[in-house]
Amino acid sequence: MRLSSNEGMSHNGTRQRWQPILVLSSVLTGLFILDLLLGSVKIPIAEVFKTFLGNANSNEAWSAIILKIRLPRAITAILAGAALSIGGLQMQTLFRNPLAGPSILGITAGSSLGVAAVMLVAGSATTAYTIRQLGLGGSWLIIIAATVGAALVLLLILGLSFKIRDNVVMLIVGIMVANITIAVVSIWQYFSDPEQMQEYILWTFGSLGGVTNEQLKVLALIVGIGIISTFFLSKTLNALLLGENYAQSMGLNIRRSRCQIIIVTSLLAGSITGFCGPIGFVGIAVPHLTRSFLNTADHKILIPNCVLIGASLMLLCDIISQVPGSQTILPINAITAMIGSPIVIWIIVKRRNLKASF
Amino acid sequence: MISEETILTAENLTVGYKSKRVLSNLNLTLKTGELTCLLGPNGAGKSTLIRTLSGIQPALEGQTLFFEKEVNLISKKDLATKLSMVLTEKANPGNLTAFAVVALGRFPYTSWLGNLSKQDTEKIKWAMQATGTVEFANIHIAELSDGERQKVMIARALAQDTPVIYLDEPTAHLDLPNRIEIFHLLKKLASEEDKAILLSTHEMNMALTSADNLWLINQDKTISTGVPEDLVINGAFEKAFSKDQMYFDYDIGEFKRSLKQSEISVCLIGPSILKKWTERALQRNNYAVVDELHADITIKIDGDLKVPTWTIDKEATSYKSISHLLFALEEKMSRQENLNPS
Repeated sequence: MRLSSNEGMSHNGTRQRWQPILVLSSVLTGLFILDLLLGSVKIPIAEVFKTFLGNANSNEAWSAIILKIRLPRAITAILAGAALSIGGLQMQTLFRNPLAGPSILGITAGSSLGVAAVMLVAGSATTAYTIRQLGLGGSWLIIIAATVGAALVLLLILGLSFKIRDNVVMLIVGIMVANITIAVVSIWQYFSDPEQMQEYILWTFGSLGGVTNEQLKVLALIVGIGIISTFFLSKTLNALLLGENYAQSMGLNIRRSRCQIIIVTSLLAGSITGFCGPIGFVGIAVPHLTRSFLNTADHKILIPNCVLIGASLMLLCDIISQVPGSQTILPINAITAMIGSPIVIWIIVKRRNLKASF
Repeated sequence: MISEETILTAENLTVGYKSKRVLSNLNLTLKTGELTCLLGPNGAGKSTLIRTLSGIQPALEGQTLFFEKEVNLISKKDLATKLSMVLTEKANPGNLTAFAVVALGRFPYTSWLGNLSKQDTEKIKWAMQATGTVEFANIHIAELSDGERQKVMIARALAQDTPVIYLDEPTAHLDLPNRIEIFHLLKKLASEEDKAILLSTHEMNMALTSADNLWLINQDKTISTGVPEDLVINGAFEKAFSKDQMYFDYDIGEFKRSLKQSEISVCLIGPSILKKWTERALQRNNYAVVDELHADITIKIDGDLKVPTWTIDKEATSYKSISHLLFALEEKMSRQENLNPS
């Protein structure tokens, strides 16, 4: 096992660094194309390619389906997978806890609360459907509601984390805060009209298909900013691996770093939750998957690979949720959990390096 | 000898918390090229003092001048280029290789992305060579033993390239050979690299033998400073650690358990090395070892280290091991008790 050699000092060769990125990029591209090809409506493969090559399509409806439904849907899947994965990665590093993720600490519940506040309280005129009809303004409203909700919960968690040093206690507190948030939403639901409630419940199933081309631009911008910011934080995240005290002794400003990480995570998780509903498991499973495969904790390597694996996994979930060849579409949230849970179990049982990470 | 430079001066320092003063009226100095040991029993306030001296925790009274500046007023970024730390807590940096952990020590010097320059890599290599951790470079930190991991953490502090290093109980989880190795390494780094090293520990043997300078936490919450031997001679050492059933053996520089009243006194005759180890076994089993005049029992040791034998009070049987001897003594005592129950 122990290679005692001086070449060990030449650490992380460029080949070692780029190889997984290249492989994962190909996988992502493959799944992206597959997602465009498959769906409830059968469209011949040649026709799909024709649409993208700019050739006139024999069926107008097909090109509309591809460009207005499948393409935004696939891009949304990529954005959601990437955003939730690196959101989870940051939470796991910040709290030094393998079970942390954007949803487990109540951040997603906070988003739900924000969205519920808009959908349930604002009155019948502003149900989710009408908000989405408002176009850009409406999507901003949902994003802001979800992000504010997420940020409030995260700030609460953060405030508590200053008092709590123990990771396990912190996690339990986070889950409790999530429960309180969910309870508030439940009470809200209880006093809401069934019509409004239905909208909200539909939203909680999660959907990658509800994002229009216009809204996609906003979402892509936010997620893009989030991913780039996360990459800028990679040095900070690496320092946090040694624990806060060590990080501080190396000159890291803990409070500021915590704030940055929390803002970026709530932006990523909050916006995705706002647009697609609360999508679970990706945020927890993908960081583990990435660490396990690459056998490193260096965030400079983890972040790009996390983005690729998260996006690929989400595309795969989207393909499955559409049950190719049938008319049915399953809720994406159920599919991510169905795929995510076995993955988490598989890693814990099979790859022993999970425990070494925390 | 390299000229010594005072890098830290604490004046009338009182450390602790609002509700509790932990240590008070401290006047301390740290010099380059010296290994200073902060010695005190568990819970005496070693970590609190180190936190205060590193500007993490505000002092209750007095001031700490670090490079002629009040330590609390130095920005964390500046401080990180002057002071590095090795902490008690077991760092669990995930599946990073030892090299990557040491590389984190370059944090204050690298660009926003943390990419290592040639100079950074040189420093890391040097730090790993100085600590003898080169062979672990590609091994994941979780696979290392506690001692190896602690050496990697010291290498990380070295890579941070600071004139001062604080170590808070760095040997707390280590076995004796590893403790000796770490102390030796730190002593070497202090003198060869001209670093000022402050190390807290509760192990007086190690501190006595390795430290250039001792900060001894007294029972009255003050600190005596000086060369270790001076502190032994002037009695500060005994006072600092003394407890009811302990006394300080000035011959060997160790604390020993005081004798109890009910002990049975034994006299030992034989080769000195065998006498010494027999004495230890007897003392552990509540026998007092005294001279011939006061002894209840005399034990004669014959032979050498290879074939020793023990005989009690000129009895016919002799015993081939201390284990047998102890058993026989116990039997003898219980027989006597049965004969004259007092």
